[in-house]
Amino acid sequence: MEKIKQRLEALCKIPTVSGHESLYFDQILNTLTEEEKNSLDEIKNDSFGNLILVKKSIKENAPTLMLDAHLDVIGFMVTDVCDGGFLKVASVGGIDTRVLPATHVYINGKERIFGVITSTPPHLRKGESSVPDVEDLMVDTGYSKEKLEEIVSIGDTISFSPMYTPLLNNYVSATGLDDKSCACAILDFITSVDKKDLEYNVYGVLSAQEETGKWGPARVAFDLDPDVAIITDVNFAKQKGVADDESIECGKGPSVDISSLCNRKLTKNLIKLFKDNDLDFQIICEPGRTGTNNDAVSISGQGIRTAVLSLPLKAMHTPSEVVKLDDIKTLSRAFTLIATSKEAL
Amino acid sequence: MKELLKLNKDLCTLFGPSGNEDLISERIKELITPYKLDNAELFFDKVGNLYYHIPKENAPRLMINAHMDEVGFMVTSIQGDGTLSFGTVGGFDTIILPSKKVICENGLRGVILSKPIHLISRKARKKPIEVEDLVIDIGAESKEEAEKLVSIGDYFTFDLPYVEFGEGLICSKALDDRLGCAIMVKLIMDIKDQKIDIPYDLYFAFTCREELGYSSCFGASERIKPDYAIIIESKAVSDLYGVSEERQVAKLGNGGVISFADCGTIFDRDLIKHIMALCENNGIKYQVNQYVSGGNDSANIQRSAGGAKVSVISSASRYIHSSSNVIHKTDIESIYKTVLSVLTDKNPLK
Repeated sequence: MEKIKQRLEALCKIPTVSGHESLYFDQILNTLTEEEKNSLDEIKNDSFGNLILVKKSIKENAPTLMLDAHLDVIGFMVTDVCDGGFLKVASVGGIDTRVLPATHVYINGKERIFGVITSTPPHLRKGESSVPDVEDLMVDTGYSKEKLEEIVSIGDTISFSPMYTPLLNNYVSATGLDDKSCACAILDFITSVDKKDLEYNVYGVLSAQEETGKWGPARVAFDLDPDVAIITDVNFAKQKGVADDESIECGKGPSVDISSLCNRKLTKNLIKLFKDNDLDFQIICEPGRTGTNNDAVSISGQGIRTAVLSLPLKAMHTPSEVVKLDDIKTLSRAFTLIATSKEAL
Repeated sequence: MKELLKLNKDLCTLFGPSGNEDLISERIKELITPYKLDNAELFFDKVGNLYYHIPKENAPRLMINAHMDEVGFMVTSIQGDGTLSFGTVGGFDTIILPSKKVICENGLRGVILSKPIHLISRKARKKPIEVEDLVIDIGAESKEEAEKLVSIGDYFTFDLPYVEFGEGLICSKALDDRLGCAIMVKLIMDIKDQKIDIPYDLYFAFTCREELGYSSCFGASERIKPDYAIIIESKAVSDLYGVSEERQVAKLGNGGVISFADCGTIFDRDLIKHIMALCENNGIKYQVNQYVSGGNDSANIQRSAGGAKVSVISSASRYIHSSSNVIHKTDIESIYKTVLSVLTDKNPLK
């Protein structure tokens, strides 16, 4: 668990705002030890910005298993540098403007500089308190415009301050746990599984631009045409105000998502595999679209056999999401079960 | 300047929401005790205000005041799932609460949870989240587990780092009004170190519960019965890009804000003019508020006992009453110099 904790903390600190993932591949790979890197057959990336880690079975003609977690996180892009050192911004991905005022951010310019999202005090505002539009928000950098223009350019990304905070019972609160938690599980699995045990050639995909349209891994699936693709993403955990039928629970393992856009046989096989091996898991129904990379991957190329495993996460898309580390560990174990048996097929 | 900023950081990072200022007052006492003059008194009153009195006979009585408390939260009930419902202590714009990290007086860390945007209807997304819909998540998984660690009535405050950023700015919780406390501590140190002869019967009052309106400062000024009082505070300003000049109130970096009026007090004209003249003569930066807003302990002091002549000198502060107040370092220094000029005045007030 300590290893997962450290890896997750390191991943959360890397500001992979959608569309800018490839700038940080070195930093992502630095979270692996030399030994872990050497255990892989290949580390590659594509022109779209997906990072792909390959570990092959020693068996001949092994089928292909693709695992996907997205590497990108929501954030902002600078649209204007204004007088007084304020930045106007546009959102990248589904930003929740109800939770932003007074939030700490970092601007990824020539240097990485600190900023605060502005808010107007109640007594200086006209009318009732209201949720600002993204266009009304600014980032306060504390620089003069002239100095700021030397550091920041229009188009630079802005990410939430990582602030990784351990809570009780192996819960952590940090930014970008969507979907670094699942990426962490893929890295944990693929670096630790023994090649001799693999029934598949495994392609761990840390994919790009999920938050801005779920475009990344479909490109990989097109080239790879895997026999099985497992898409992993976060899902709504039970918390105040969230109904039971739209959520799963933290601490009870990943969920198998039952959706019309997932392969039914593969989904059933996974459920049986997990039951037979006493793995903690849950079921959630997504009757229509899953809202994950699954939907695009499933129609990639000539069609891909897909299933979705999702991790319970509280306060999704806020600067302080909450996950339980045990669930990440269980997801990693689920990958091992899938990759070391033929039952999924 | 360096020492002043160090004191400021020291005090800002301490835990002290209104009604729970002991950690602050004990630290301040510890800081000033080595600098206590032989004839001076250092004492607490029965409600927790801390005083440092340098007596002088046949001189006007001057009170310098800052409040020790900060805004915060109080646990009001523990939910079945182990999360904590809370109420706010002090005035909050609740829009700044969701997803902020918080810390309990016992060091337990938490985060203020809000419901994911995906599960909110489009229309409701424009409505600010109410405090009733928020909980603090400490990671406890049941009511029983949470109850072992937290009780109803426990305080929380923000748990975000103290950051120096940009060209001379500071971002922290509790700058309102620990910066005032830090300036007073530094002045007390200087009086001893520089053997300053004060032309007043001087009281420094570090007071409690300002953020609630029903301030303990009232009792402090009833006790002191000052002729004059100078309040060192933090003032909400909005000197942001796109805000009209008059609505900005004041600007960061332009010196202490000497208010002629706010929503609670019309300040004493003679005292203000006297302080402004001292600034002019000593080349100290100051500014006047361009918009009447806010309020502070000045009103309580002005109306206590037989009445007092009051002036407030504030640090212009953006995003006040949040996890992330922003002020300019040089303003702390300007305010310090302004008050020091009053204490070293060659033509003191009568």
